[in-house]
Amino acid sequence: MSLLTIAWSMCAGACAIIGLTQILLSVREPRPQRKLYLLSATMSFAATATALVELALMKSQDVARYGRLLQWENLTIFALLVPLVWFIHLRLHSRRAWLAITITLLWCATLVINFAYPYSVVFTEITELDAHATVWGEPYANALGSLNPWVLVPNIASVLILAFIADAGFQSWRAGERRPAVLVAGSSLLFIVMAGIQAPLVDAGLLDMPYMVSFAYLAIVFALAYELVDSARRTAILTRERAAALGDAREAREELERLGRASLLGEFVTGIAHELNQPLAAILANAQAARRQLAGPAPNVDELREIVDDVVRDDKRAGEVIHRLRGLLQKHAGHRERVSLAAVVRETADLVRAELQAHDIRLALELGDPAWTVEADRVGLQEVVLNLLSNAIRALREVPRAVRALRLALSLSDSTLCLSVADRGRGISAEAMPRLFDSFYTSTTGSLGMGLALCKRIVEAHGGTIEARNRDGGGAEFRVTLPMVKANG
Amino acid sequence: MAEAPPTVFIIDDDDSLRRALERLLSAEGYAVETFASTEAYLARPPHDGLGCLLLDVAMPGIDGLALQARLARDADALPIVFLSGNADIPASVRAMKLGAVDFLTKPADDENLLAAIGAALGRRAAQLQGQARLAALSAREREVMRLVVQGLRNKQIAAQLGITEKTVKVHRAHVMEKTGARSLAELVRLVGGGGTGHQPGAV
Repeated sequence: MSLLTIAWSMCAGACAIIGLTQILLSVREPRPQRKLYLLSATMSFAATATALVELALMKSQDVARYGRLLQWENLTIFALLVPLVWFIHLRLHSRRAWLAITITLLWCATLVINFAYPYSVVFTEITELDAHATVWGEPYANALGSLNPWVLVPNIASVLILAFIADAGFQSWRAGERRPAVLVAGSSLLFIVMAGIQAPLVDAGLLDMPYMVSFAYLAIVFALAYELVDSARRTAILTRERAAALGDAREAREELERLGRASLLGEFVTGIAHELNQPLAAILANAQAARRQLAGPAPNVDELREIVDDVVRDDKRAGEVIHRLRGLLQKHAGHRERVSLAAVVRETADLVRAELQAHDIRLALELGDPAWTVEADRVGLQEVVLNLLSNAIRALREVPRAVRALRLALSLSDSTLCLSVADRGRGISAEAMPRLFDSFYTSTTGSLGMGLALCKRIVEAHGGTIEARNRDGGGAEFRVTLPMVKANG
Repeated sequence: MAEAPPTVFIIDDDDSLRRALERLLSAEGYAVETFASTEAYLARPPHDGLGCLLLDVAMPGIDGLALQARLARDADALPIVFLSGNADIPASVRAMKLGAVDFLTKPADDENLLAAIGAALGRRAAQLQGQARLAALSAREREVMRLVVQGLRNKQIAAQLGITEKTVKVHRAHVMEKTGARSLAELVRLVGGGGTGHQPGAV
């Protein structure tokens, strides 16, 4: 077995494997990236063909066959260089598409010339096949003859290719894309120059060795493939890190919102304690009354039965308060369901009833039709209502008791539900109005300033809107709109 | 004192708690009347027998403390036991300053509750007793007593009423005897119905 055959076959095999790998990888990539992989695969297969043709050239015995093989070798070179130019154009974002087009046209012209002459674009005539021998004594063929003047065309193209790659690499380097600049442009330049020096020297008979273009190509193909895979790996890592960072940010925001919610509930803690205390106090008094009944000579069974009924009812009442609280303090599950807007508003208003009472605020509820349904995260909606109520209560505490009126009204127009929360407080200052829905903007101390920002986010996530205005006759009104859905179906 | 059992007036806006307290106090043998609001209680004619109020603090309309302030002007008002939803210190201080018997926090243990009601009824009994004694005074004796508790000396009272100092002394001795007061301070307490006669009015 000849060493030349082994070396060139291995080169061809390596190129083919790289090409196949690129095709396999291209499948998983998005469209722009896939183009790069396919160009790189084309180059790999062209390099494979180049290596095989080169091997055939070395082994050829007659002049006609050698000329035909040269034609085919030029075709494989075309199939490598033109994709290389476009690969670099795409990968390094070169701004000189015209140069890439010029190079492509020159190479097309070269091909026409190449196949118009029997001995290719290189020779007009091959006089003889010179039998050379390697240092270890293996024979190979090299042509001697008169050079084709048209060989100038591919040579010009080669010079332009070098210029194009150098320019693209330089621009890319300057833009900070140093790694691809070095790997893509640097390696292409190095190996094209090596091949570009060696081949003409062999053509001119000055260098006593076989063409080694395919080895240079193997190096280029390898470098480009490496760069592609490496950049894909880096992108993947970066994407993962960014996703992790985004996840962290989301978690932090959720935590903050939960805190905001907790502090919002803190405002109502007195009222909520009252809500819990009432049933507990009733249960205790009932239990103690029952104990006294039972200690007496003739326990009244009817009364004991009533007592037990009341205890059960009060226990459920306390349980509901806790259930509502737990719902609000949970991390958001964001679970969407069809809910009656009136029910959500009433539930939430119940939660602050004690607070309203303590501040002598008269609440008017106009809840419209309980069948008005929205597809929503119930807890999210409760939060919106709670925030708006909390703001209204705060505003009303600043005005005399006699005028403390608050109105919660639902209305429907064109399958859009509107919740209006209107108070007769001092209204919204001109200074606060434009920043009302910004995070951390607050006009009160002791508030995180998350409330309205959170409301806006929740409402918009439900495809709704929220807006604020000052009312004629004093006070503020917040209007939340939400798309209505059919109650069932 | 009276044949009828003492009455506890429960004022609380929570139906269930009202019912439970009524049961508990009825089981103890008290007559119970319940009201969902202070307004409903005020609409009722004043109770002149033995009794007391069991009063919630936070209620719509006139709340417990406001009712207390209103009743404090009246020397004949029933003693009050507060039953509050939360242990609000400023509110409890205010309530006690205005003469509340106790300020309990919900849920209150029955022993504490009944002890407070017992204390309130005791105070009411003393109040009624004093009133009955005062009713036994003659017009002149009552006049003398009014000036005595204002801190006037015998000579000043004599001058003001146009009688001799000796007569003032006799009337004064009768007043002390009929009311059973052993000192001026006790007399003042009796007349004032828990106050001094110089009520601070609304706070």
